[in-house]
Amino acid sequence: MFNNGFQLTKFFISSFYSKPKQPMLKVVLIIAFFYLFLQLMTINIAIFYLGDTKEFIFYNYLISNLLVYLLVIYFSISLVFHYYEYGILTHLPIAPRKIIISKILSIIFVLTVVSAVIQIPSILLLGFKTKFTELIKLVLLVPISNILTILLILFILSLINSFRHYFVNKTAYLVVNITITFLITAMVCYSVLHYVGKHLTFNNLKLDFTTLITLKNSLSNVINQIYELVLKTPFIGNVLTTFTSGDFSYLFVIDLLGMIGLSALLFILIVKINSIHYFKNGTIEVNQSSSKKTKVYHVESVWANYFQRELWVINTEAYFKMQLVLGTVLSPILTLILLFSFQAGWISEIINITKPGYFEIYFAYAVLIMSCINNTSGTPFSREGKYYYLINSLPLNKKKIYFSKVFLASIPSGIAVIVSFIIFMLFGYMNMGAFLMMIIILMLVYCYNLLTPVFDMLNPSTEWENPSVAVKSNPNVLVSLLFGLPILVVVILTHFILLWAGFSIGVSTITIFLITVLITFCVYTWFTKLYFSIK
Amino acid sequence: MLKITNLKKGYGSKQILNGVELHVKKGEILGFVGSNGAGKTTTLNSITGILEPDEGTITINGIIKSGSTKYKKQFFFIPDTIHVFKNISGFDWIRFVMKLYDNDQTERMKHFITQFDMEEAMYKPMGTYSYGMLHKMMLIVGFTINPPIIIMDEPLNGLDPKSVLTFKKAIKLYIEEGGTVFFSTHLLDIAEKICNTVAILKDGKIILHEEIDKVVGENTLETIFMEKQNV
Repeated sequence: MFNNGFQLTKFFISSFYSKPKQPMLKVVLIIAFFYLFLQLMTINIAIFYLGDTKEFIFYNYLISNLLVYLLVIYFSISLVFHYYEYGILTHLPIAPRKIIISKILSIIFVLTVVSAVIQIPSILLLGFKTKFTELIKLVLLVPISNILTILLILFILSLINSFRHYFVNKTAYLVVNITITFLITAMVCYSVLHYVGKHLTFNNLKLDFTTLITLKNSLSNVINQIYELVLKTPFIGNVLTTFTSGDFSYLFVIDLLGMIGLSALLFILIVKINSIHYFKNGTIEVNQSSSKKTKVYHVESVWANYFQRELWVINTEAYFKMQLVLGTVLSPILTLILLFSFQAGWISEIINITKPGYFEIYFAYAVLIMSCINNTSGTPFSREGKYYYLINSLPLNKKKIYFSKVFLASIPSGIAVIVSFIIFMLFGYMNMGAFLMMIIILMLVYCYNLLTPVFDMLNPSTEWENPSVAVKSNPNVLVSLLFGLPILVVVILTHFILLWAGFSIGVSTITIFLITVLITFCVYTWFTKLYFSIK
Repeated sequence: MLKITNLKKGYGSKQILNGVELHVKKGEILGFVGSNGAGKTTTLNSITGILEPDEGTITINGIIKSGSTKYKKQFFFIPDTIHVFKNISGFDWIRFVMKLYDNDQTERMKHFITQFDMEEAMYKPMGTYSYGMLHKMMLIVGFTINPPIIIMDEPLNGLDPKSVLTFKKAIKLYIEEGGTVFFSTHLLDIAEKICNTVAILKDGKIILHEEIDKVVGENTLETIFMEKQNV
């Protein structure tokens, strides 16, 4: 039976990835992975040469746990608590406890391996310079602390999952999950910022860009100050001292055993909580899918009918609806956090925005990035799933389908942009320049939404069973960025080049406005007049 | 073998099963027929644990339906829509299921793999399989592990003519070895040839469960079915 448990874990691990069929996608994925790997390696090497070994070990824990934290939130919602395996396993003679154990082991395995791969340069660097004990500490503690992070998040989400049957529908359940994870992140960030803000003035953390030497020294100072501050934190500081010091003490053994013990306890609790409700929650999932009802509006307009069709596609999966909700609310929420931080003086001390009119521009582009980051416009054809063939077999107008998809993606993004600027206004920052920037951002979002679905239209990934594979885990998302981002980058760069060249805020904003109008008109005309005629 | 008593199931305000009563005996090849939406799949899903019925009891070999592995070892289920781990090969999947049923019969597995022309496909990821290949793979699993009863939802969908023939032979062998088959189908002519009993489901109730020879007589199953549907 142990062998079978191992097999099932292997099956779950295999579900974490889907090999793309198109060579272009394979290349993009490889480049993306190496890019991430190189970035993290560069950070590791920089910290290694800027700080001492203790600081290097500390930042390694921090970076790997941060990465694992972000990944576990994503995978636990889209895979661990998704019940995608319910239809595969529920009629087989296998106990729910074993299914849950295999699922948890699979996520622990995948995330610790990802974290370990990123640690390879660190271990090599430590091997050159440092003591054997420090190397052993890093090799032991990074995976153990990663596992504890994974299990803590899974435990919290398991508690929500145990109330799954109280949720009226799956969308509500998913939104609650996302909200809770977001709140946990916000609480952690707030506590850290509050603690750091109380004990350390941000002026001391400023970087000096005068020469390379001053930059190196100021960076080294920042790394050292944050580390020293964390060491002073009650409890965490004590644990960290034993973990980063160059010798083995009895406290280190106690801390290590404590972490392993806590992880074991969390593991047992997660398995228990989820096993009890496995059939109940799985059945709810099937029942909710069977009784799904979609509203049909009898409308005359052809465009309205095409748009209605898009709403039906969104309505097929709770995950799609959740993405739509997130796309609408994420930008305003982040705007609130940004503006509160600005008013508290945290941001203004780090990035000195003294020139009038600059804050509006920074804010506008931040809203643009936030609206585009969580936008699902890159995979609208993949979302059609097994019904995609209808687009080709029914006498539907492909241009109208394309534009209704663009329209559907633009509505939540547009609302997000407008609400963010209303919040901006309520904080007392709105002026004519900011209003013009809002119009620019709205046009750029539309442009982005026009360009990002192109690759997905030509290469839809429709053979999915888990809806997260159709949206965020879809490799087409990465390629869609290649289509959409260049225009945003060009416009933002042009704006800052104009400002750097000495143009006033007003002249540069009006110039960018005219450029954006021209780009939007050209892209729109290309699609309406040329693209579909060629096709 | 399989006993269903007063099975009721609804989705929201819509009642699908209105007290299904059915007793399938050992050695039966039961063709479970009914119009679209009559509740065939709901019945099968309720037996196999995918759905929890609102009322009623189900027993297989005297074991009352529950989430226990003991109950689930009494049957193997082939659903109409087959969900799989897409990156896993058919071969790995069969080995896994054989171990779950404590029934490691490699030679028997190889025999059915050859019979269903799946030698090459078994080593490929199941995500690359066609609809018909997935059905063939599940039939191989079912006939290999040889459980007391095989339950199938539209098993002939997507099968090529040779596979249908293999399916008939495999069922014959399985029954000779003491098995029981319970499958839903819309293909009445094939059901007439393969099955020894038939059950008709209408408006969430069994309106007929009889030996096929007694039911058909001089007519065809198609005629009888249409009569029972009052068409």
